[in-house]
Amino acid sequence: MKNVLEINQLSKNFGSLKAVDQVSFSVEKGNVYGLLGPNGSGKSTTLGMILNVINPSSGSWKWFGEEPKTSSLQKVGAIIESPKFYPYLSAQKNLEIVADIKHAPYEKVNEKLELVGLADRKNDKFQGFSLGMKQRLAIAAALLNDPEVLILDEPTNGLDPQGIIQIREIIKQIAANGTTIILASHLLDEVEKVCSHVVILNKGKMLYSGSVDEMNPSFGALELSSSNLDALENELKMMNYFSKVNRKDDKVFAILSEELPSEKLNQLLFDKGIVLNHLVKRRESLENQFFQLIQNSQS
Amino acid sequence: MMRLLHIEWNKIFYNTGTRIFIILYFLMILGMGLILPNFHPNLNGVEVNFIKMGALEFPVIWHNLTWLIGFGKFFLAIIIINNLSNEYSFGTMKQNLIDGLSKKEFFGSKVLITFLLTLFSTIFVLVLGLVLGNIYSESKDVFNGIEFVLGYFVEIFAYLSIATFLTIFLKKSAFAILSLIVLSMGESIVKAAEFMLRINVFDKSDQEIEQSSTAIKLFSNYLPFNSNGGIIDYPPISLTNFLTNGKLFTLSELKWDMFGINVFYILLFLGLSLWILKKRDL
Repeated sequence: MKNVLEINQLSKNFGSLKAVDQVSFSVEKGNVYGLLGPNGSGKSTTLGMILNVINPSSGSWKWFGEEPKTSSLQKVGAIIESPKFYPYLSAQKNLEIVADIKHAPYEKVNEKLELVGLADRKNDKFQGFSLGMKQRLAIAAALLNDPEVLILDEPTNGLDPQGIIQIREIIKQIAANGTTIILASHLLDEVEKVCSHVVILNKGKMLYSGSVDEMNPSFGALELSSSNLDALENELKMMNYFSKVNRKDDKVFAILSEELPSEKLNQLLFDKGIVLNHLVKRRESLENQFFQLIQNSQS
Repeated sequence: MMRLLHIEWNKIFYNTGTRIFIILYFLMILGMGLILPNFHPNLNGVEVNFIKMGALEFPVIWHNLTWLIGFGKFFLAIIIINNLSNEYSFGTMKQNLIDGLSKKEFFGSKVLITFLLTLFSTIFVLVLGLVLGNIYSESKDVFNGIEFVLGYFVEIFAYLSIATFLTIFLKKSAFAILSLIVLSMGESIVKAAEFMLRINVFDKSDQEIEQSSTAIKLFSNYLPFNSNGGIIDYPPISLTNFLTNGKLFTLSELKWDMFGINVFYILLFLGLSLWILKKRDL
């Protein structure tokens, strides 16, 4: 698999503060990466460095297997923070400037305006746009040159629920076309919904880099219920399959410590005379794993 | 090159404010050319006719015209400052870089537009001089003194380079414009202070002061703003000349030392601007 981006020991100091500390990871073509971390963990600084707006203190990176040069960024589409355009120019003129910068033909301008649903507003000035429209124009600009990588930094920040859904739909559509996406966010459910890989940062240090599934060696969690909850809970605690069993309201939650098919568990419980009326097996949520990682790093 | 020009053109031409300012600037120059010959101020009951005094005669016309229109450089500086500081306040400079413009290219596009603006202004002055000279000058010694047009070009370009540097350094248009004014006033004060200190004005008679003021060279004359205004000095006048043949203005030379130091300042300030731009995080 070809690496689109390789980051090697990248660091950035602001005075005595280490905003990014020896971060290394690589991004494979065609995957959707989540860059996760609390506010101030160094996500935007990392992206700023690979996008040429922040000078790194040390370290290096490679775009498409080559040393970074100006033209590499022309194959990258990026939206950092809020959308930045010339307020006195129309949507079309703003995109023409981007097209000039990226060496893209002007025909692309209309095509991408169409894609984000702004074709009928193309002659209106940017300053009159709503935040959702501004964000969609930013996506059109990022996609203008059909980039190989799309970098999004908090793309749904400040948007209303409808805007969030629109942006998420556009991201899914783009991902489906095989474009590599790097999505920085502190919204975990957002990352969980679209990402296959994650890079987790906290206080400038990288805690994890890899696929979402391999993040924590976990076999999933179970959610059970029965007419006799006490018996169910006791029975589960006596089995060796679980690392943790606890009861909340009218359900019992159990975290698996080894592989156990639901069928087999159902059979085992039935044999003990417990009839289940609810059994759900799910992956441990990203949120849980994320907090565990961050807590581990702090202790 | 054409790509950078096209990017800059879209940014500038479609900005209503900038467009109006540029048009006003050139109208102002044109207006000066039209009004000046017909402008007869009345001083103590004596009508002053600049044309009869030979203000628009070749070769002194070049000096007079470039000196007068040189004051419009402040106007151009505001256009440049506004254009550049907008890039900071809109955050579009950062976006341009993210989109794949290098810092060098970004800076290049700004220098290019400054150069073109200066060039157009210079060509305008040249054409205006040729037209007015052909109408009002008896002598047709057109190319004598035409180096003042070149001096005009360097004066404007150096002034705009300083404005560019101040904007990139301070990022805010209000601060840049203010510092442009304060610094040029400050340099005049420094010059006056140096003059008083070096000549020791308090111990000398008026005549001595006048003698030594022409004899010594002030170091503060070489400061950016002082030297910028010094390339094309005040048009010298001679009353003896006026009384003998009715021509008030006398031929003088372009201050080539100031010209040289301004070329140096252009390189210095543009170089510093690019250096700051590259060094700073956005």
